[in-house]
Amino acid sequence: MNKLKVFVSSIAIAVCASSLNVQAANKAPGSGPNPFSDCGIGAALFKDTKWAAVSSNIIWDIGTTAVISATASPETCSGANVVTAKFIIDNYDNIVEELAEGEGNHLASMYSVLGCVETAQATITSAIRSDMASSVSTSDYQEKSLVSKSSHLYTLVNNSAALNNCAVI
Amino acid sequence: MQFFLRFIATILFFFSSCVLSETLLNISDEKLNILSKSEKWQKLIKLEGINFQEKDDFAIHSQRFYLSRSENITAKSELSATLSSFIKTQYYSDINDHPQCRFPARFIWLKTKVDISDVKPVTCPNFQKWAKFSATKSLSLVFATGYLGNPASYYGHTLIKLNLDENSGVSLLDTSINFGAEVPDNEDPLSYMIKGVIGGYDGSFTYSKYYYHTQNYLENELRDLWEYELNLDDEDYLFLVAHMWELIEQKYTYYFLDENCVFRMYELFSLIDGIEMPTLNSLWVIPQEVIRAISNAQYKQKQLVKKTTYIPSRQAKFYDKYWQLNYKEQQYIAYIVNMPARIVELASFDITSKQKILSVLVDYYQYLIAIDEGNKKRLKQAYNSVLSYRFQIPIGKADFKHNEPNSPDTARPSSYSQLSFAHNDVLGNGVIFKLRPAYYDQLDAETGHVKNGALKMAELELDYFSSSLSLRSFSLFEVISVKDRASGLPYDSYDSWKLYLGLKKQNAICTDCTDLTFEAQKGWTIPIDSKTMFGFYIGGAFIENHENRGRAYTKGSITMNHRLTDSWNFYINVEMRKYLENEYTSIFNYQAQMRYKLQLNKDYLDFRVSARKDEITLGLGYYW
Repeated sequence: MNKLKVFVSSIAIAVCASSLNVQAANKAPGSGPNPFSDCGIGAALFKDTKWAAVSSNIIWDIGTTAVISATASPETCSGANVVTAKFIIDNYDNIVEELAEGEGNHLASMYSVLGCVETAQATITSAIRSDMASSVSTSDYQEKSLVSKSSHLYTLVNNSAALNNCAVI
Repeated sequence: MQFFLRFIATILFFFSSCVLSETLLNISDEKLNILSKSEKWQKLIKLEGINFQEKDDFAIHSQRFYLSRSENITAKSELSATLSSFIKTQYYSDINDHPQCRFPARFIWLKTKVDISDVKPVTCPNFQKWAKFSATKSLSLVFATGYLGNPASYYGHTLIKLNLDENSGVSLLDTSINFGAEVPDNEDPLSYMIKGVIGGYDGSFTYSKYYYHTQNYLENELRDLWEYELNLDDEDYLFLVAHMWELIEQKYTYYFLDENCVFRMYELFSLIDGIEMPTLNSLWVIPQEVIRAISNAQYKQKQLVKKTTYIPSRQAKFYDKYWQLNYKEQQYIAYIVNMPARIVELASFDITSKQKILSVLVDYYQYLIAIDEGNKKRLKQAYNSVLSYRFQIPIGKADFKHNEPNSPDTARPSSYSQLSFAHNDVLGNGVIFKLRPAYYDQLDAETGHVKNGALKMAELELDYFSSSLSLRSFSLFEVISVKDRASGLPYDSYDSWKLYLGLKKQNAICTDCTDLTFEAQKGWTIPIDSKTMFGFYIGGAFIENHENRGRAYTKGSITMNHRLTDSWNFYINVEMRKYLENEYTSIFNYQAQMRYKLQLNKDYLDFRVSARKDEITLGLGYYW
């Protein structure tokens, strides 16, 4: 009887696990949790300020642990999406400037977190550049908070179809 | 039955581990003595005092860095406790708490000294995740150039970066390790200064993504970064990274002058056999000196540093690009920044010029946003309009030449002594001796310094005239902050300032007139070209009363710095003082100094001829 239970349970777990894998592989861009809204980035951890107040002598650990523990469970808020979101909010200006020029270290770093090779990087950059151009030129762009602007950029990247060609989604 | 079996198994397990422990601890007392006295072990446990056996001789005061109780700790007790903890089979609810995981470098080293082959190596997930041995290939020592915004950063800062595979070409996500003082928020400057010097703060190693530092240094504090990638072999690299892991968040006492960030970095590298570096004997440790030492060090018959990379700050990028623009492009930049709405007129330029102008404007506004809090909103507005326009033209990097200054390791040593022969109109012939522990003056600023500026601490001058030795000056500090590359655009003006506190002679011909002086000046320094700079200052001073002149004066001065060749340069200063308490007293002073620098093998020297009111000197200086 016990053996039968174990066997049935194993089958059930295997089926669930494989369906999860299929879901992950087939996941549409942008369908994952948004760390800005779901994981507390911005609201819980970041203030809408630049790095101006930070002194080089202050001890600072920017590990993802604090983000994860801020609001949500590790299952939804760990991994590449949170690292990407944090990278965007911490380097927002540099990334946008490089988007405008089409290349740069910050842009490449963001894509490397997502596991995108060079061709995918160029495709995503082209795809989101016009949206960013519109966003930057809106009259209320300056009034938007850093969190809001970063969240928008994150969504653009995450919704890009070319992201499916990257290793980490 | 199951319970019984478990009980028996536990007893056997416990018994076997005790036997194992006893067996391995049967290392002879003599062997323990020898090992505990070895330099490597003492460096690993941060035993660095004179007596080498007392609690106070340990640099770290966190109990969790030690396995023996800190009250009775000795090198030998810690060695026994470490060996014992490695070989004991004990259950840890979190495997990361296992001593092998907490002290991987000790484990690596002890394996080479003691037979602990029966001890099963533990897999340490946190350490492995942190070190990323599968992806990281090397480490770099990173030097952040000096920052006049914070006295503790005047001399620069260092940190370590674990480099991901260099083929990735991306380093912002690398792990960086920093050693810094833990300064409470809102600490007042006086406490900050005193506590920093006397050891009133804890210091510790911490880690973060490298981009935290690039944002802070390059974008916020506008300091350049220099990365020195080291040539370590795999074994030494792994050992060093393992040791850094042991040190993370352990508490040291922080001393700004000597046991500071760069001292701790130096200490790390000295742990590796085969790195030949000069010993640090000085009462102060300056980051640039350690950079020079690392750069010149040999490691296993090769250079320790295999690659140097320069990363300019936002300000440096702006200047470098701005001064590469042609006259028309520079004029257009000025035209736009005076009225940002004119950016639409950029359409008349070709695409190459457009890309250049917009790239310079982006850097210009970002640089100003970092320094000008009061105008931030207006500057951001202008920045956004430039950015928006940039999105409207096609993708493509602006075509600028990447200029790189001389690296800081090629600069002369930081300390200076000078012996001069002097002719004084009143006192006759004499000798002047100068000693400057750090750092540079208007004529000898080099890479990592502010060119034509000055930063002096504790400079002492003695003179000997007519068989009489007297104190000529002793500066607590002297800072001359100049904008040697200012564009002259709005908000990037030529603002400069000078500050002096110390003792100095009231004039060249008096004796017994070395008085406390506090002097402050504000002004403008205008670079005419890359070799010449003029300065205009107004300011004043509080000073002891001398010859009934009074205790305060205002002054105006004009300066000129000019570089004739790489080796020859000169400096002229003329000033007019008006004493406030004595309306009849005004004094005109002048000083001109010419310097010739030279290098003989590894020795750095200079000759200086100086003329000032009532005195001429000829001096030979030596950097050490």
